[in-house]
Amino acid sequence: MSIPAPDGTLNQLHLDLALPLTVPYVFYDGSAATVIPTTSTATWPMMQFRMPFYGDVVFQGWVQMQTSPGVQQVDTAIDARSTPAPTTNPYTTWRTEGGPGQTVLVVPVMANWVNVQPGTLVDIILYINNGSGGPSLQLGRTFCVAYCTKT
Amino acid sequence: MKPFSFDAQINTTMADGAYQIFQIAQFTMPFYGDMVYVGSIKIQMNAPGIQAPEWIRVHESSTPAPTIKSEAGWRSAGGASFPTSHVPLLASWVGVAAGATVTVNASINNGTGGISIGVYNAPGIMYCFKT
Repeated sequence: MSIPAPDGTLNQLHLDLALPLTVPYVFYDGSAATVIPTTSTATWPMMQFRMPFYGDVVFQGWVQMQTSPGVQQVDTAIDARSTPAPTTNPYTTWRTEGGPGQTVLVVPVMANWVNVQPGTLVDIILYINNGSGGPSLQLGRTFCVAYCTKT
Repeated sequence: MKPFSFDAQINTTMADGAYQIFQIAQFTMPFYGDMVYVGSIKIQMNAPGIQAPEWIRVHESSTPAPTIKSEAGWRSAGGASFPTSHVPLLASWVGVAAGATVTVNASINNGTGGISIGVYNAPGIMYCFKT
């Protein structure tokens, strides 16, 4: 893997027993099925794969969402019901107080797993709580990558 | 490769014209190698108006000093709305010693004459690579 430097050169990094798995996006078509009503929670599949070897997994992703006009507060996280259960799943709380406008936001989500057996189905589930009494919430796309490392 | 994940809870307010540095990650490098940090920081305007925080970045006061660090600006011209944004933070390091205490700091310059902003959490992952 290499990353570009500001001067156009490359920093070469060497992956050491690491396997990156990417999902460019999952597109939600804007139908009613992708709207989370006021004071509701929802879960969505974000990534699924089988662990290629014994080791650890780290997941990093982003979720695009949009509010209707109004005051909105949303909790976003990797759901604890993901399998296997994540070791850590820090969540992001997002609050926006809009008047006439509609707000679009890309929210980060992360999770870790340790000592996952080879062949295990890793099912990463997104959790969103639109529970604070604002307007409905429209989901957009998700962007994510998972790194599997031998331990 | 070994990753470390963080979710620093900052939860403070920066006044109009303020410049601040926040610690967003700290860990011990497990082996000699390179590192890449990918994260973000959540900020929100505290009132309607025009706002343009600049130089949102991983700061050079991080130890060791990063080799590459991104800089992002955020401009919002709000009417009645209070926009919230997650601003990306990227940085990389090369040749970090095993056992080094790595401290990652982020800085925000709210110095453009707008209004105060709220600074919330900074989720991110540091990827460590043996070289």
